[in-house]
Amino acid sequence: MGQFDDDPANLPALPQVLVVDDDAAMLRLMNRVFRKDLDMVLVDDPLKALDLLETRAFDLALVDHTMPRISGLTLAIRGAALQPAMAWIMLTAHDSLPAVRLAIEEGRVDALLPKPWDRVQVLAEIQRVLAARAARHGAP
Amino acid sequence: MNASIKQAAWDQSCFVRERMEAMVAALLIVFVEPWWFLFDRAVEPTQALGFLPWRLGSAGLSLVIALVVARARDGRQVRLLNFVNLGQTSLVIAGLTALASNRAEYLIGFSVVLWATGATFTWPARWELALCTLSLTAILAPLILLGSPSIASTTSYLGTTAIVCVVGVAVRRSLHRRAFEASYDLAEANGELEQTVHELRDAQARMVAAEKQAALGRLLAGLSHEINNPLTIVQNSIDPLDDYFNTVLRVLERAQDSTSSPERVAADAAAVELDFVRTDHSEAVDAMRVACQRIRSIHRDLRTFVRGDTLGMEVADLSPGLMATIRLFRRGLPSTVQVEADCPALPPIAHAPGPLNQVFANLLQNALDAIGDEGAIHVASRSTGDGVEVSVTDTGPGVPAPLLPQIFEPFFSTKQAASGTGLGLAISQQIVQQHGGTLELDLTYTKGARFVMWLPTHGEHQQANASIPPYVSQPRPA
Repeated sequence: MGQFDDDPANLPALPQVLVVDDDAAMLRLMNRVFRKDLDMVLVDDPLKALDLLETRAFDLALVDHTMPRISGLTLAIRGAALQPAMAWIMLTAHDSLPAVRLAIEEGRVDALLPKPWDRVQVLAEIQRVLAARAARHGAP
Repeated sequence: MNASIKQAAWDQSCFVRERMEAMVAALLIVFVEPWWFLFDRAVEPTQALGFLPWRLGSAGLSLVIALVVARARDGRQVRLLNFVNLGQTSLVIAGLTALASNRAEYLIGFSVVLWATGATFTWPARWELALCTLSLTAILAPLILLGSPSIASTTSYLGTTAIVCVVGVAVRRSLHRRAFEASYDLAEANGELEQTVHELRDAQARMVAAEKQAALGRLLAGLSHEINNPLTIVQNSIDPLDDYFNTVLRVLERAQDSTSSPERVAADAAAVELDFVRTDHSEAVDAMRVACQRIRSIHRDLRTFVRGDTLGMEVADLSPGLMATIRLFRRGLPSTVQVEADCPALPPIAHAPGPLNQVFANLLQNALDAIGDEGAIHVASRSTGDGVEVSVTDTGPGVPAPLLPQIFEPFFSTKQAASGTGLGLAISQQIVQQHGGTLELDLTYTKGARFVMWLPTHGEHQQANASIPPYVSQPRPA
C-alpha cells in the first residue's frame, strides 16, 4: 500500500501535487476528495501555475486539458522544461484526443484520466505514475 | 433475360392483333358472301342459284371459324384458323370460277381476296405466301384440267396480285415491329428513369439524415463535455459528505452514551475539524446543487432541440426552439467567444420545429467555425409585417467574393473534410424554402458574415396540416 498507509510510523511525505483547473468548483472538489492523500496546491490559472513551477518543486501535476488560452497539454510541455522530473496527468472528457495520445507516446505526459473520474481510480493512477517515474530515474 | 421478355411481349402483341384481324376477316366473309349472289345474278344469271349454296356454306363456315378464333389461346392457333378460313373461301371462289363462263369477272373478284389479306393482315409473310400458293393452285388446277387458253394471263394477273400482297403483309408486319420496338424501348427506358429517380430521392434522404446525425453528433460531443464536470462534482462529493455526517453522528452517539467519559467525547469532537467541515459541507452542497441545475438545463435545451422531430408542422412561436439551440451552442465556449441573442417573442407561424432547429444549429455552427477561438456571434430575430426574420451575424472573415455563388450548393465546404459533410447550408436553404421562406447571405454586411432567414406568416406552405417531404421527419433513432 506504500504511501497510503495509515500507520504514522510508516507515513512518508504526501506527494506534492500541483492541481490546475479553470473551474473553481472542480478545485474545491479535488481538495475535498484528496486532502488526506495528497499535499496539493490548487491553481485556477495556467499562467500562474507556470510561475509557481519556477519557485517550488512538485512530484506531480493533475491538469485539466480544456482551459482557455493555454490547454493542459501546452502547460505540461512548458512545465516539463521547468521541472523535468515532474510527472503530468491530464484530466479530460475527450478520451481519444490524438494530440494527447501522441504526447503520452512521446513521454511528455504520463497518463490520461477520463472524466468523470473517481477517487480510487485517480489515486491508483498517481501511484502507478510515480512508481514508473521512480523506476526510470532510479535505473543505473 | 430482357430479350426473351421483349420477345414474349411482342408475341403477345401479335396474338392480340392477329386474333382481331382474323375475326374481322371472318365476319366480313359472313356478310359479304351472300351479297355476291347479286354479282352472280348479274354475271352468271343461269348459275346464280346453283352457286348460292356454296356461297352460304362458305359464309356459315366463316361464322363458325370466327367463333373458334374468339376462343383461340395463342398466335399459332389464330394463324391456322385464319389460313383455314381464307383457304376455304379461296377454294369456293376458285371452284365457282371454274364453273363460270365469264371467268375474267370472277378472277378479278377472286383477286379481291388476295388484296384484302395483303391490306388487312399483319401476320408473317410466309403465311401469306402459303395462302397465295394455295389460292393460285386452286384456281389454276381446274383451268388446266379444262384446257383453258387464259392460263398465262390468269397466272400473271393473280401472280402479280399475290406478290404485291405478300410484300404488303411483310412491310406492314415490319412497320408494326418497329413501332412495337420503339414503344417498348421507350417504356423500358422510362421505367429505368423512374427507378433512378427513386434511388436518387432515397440517396438524398439518406444524405440529409446523415448530415443531421453528423450535426447532432458534433453538438452532443460538446454537451457531453459540458455534463462531465457537474457529474464529477456530484459523484465525488457524496462520499466526503457522508464522512462528515458520520463523524458528527459518532460524536453525538458518544455524547448520548452514558458510559463515555466527557474527555472521550471532547476528543472525538475535536477530531471532527468542525471549521473545515462546516465550510466544506455547505460548499459541497452548493456545488452539487449548481451541478444538478446545469445538467437539468442542458437536458431541457436538448429536449427542446430534438423534440421537434416528433411533431410535423405546428403553429407556434419559434423563439423557444431558437433560444434552446442558442443555449446549447453557448455551453462550453471559451470566454473569448461571445454569443449574443436578441430574440424577443415572435408571432406564431406554421413551421416544422425539428427541421428549423436544424437550420438554426447549422447557422450557429458555421458562425462558430468562422470565428474560431475568438470573436462574437449575434443572433437577432424580429417580426416583419408579413413574416418573421432571424439573422445570425459573426465577426469572422466573411465569405470571399469568388465563393459567393457556391455557398448554398451541396457538398461545397471551406472546412476540413472531417468537420462537415458540406450539406448544411444546402439543406438549410431547402428546409427554409419548403416553408415558403428565404435564406440568404446579406451582401451589404462587410464586417464578417450575416445570414438572414425569413419565414412568411401566411402563404401556400403555411397550412398546419401540410407535410414536409418524408426526409425531414425521419423516425427518431432508438
